[in-house]
Amino acid sequence: MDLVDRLAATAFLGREFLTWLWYRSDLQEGLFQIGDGVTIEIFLTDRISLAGEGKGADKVSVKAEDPTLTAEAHVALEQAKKVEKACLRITSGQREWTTTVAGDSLALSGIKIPALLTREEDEKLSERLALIDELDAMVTAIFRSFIDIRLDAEAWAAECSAMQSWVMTPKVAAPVAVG
Amino acid sequence: MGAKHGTLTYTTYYVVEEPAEGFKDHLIAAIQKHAFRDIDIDAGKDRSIGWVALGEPFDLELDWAKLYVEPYLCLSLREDVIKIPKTAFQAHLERREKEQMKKMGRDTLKKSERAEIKEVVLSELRKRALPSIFTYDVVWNTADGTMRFFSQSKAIRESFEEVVHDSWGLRLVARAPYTILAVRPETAELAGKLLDLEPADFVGVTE
Repeated sequence: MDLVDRLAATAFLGREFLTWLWYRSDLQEGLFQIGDGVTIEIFLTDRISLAGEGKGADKVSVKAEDPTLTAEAHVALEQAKKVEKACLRITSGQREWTTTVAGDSLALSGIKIPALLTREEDEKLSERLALIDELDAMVTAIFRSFIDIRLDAEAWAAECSAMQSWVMTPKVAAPVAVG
Repeated sequence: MGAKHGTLTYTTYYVVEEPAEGFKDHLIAAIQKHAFRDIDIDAGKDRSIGWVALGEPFDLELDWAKLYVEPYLCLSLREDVIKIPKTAFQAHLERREKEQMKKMGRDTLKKSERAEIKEVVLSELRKRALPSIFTYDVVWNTADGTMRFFSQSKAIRESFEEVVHDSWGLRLVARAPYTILAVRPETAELAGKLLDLEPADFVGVTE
């Protein structure tokens, strides 16, 4: 199997990861442990897109301050749609990033980084790049946590069962803009 | 937006080969060799692509001190494109063909004559046109082997991958669920296991 085929064969995992992230953020009040005992907060915010499997599948895009609380997003989950794209707010200590993550590629876009600490012009670029590295590292660490569960058949069966209960449990909902 | 200001959007690549010893000297020479050049209209081109300083489309003075912000190598890819509006081209072409037929005292032109006129008209219009200039920032973290290209457009990404290969002989793989694991020796085996997975069901069977 060449690389292009491998990428295509595993792209679905990105959508599963984003859907799982929503579930875990809900369950754990946004708190995630990454390496070295560091705890960060991740919430889905602003906009979420969900899609069914396969080409030409139905898509739903919801824009709201907290799209995870909307009826439209939950109905989409109940219809077996998975998160195709999500805007994440990630907080580590006093610093906050927002980024949109595409499920199929885990590509990051529209990134807003924390305010820079340096006032020196020639150090600003360094600091910006270090903050991007940090964001990438956090997203990769959380993805690795997901993969660790995903590849453990027993752990994944339990996680999947819990996610199914979560999907089918009614939650607080208010109708908002749907695209 | 690019690496220096505003919100950030990029494609993350992994460099699959380690830079060779002495890569610093080789890198800069290669960058200078593939630095941006103006479009060679006389050669029939309508596009040019090459390296410039980070965020500076007219700065072709590319040296290590300017490009290296430890551990990052930072530069931009500049692409110039000339597009002649179809209607304008057609109008100029028809006028030139009529002039030629009048000059030759004929009602028609041979296929080869029309082709030659077309090339001449295209070249003249390209010389008069102002190219569109696009720059895309590139940041290579030489410590961890990731390279960020500040665009997610498929077309320009393909050009970027080609320029990187032409410049440095490097192969890039884009970040994706599979490659995040595959490119690291400690997780490469896990990547293989991903291929055995089937999509999960988060709804369950309704009884």
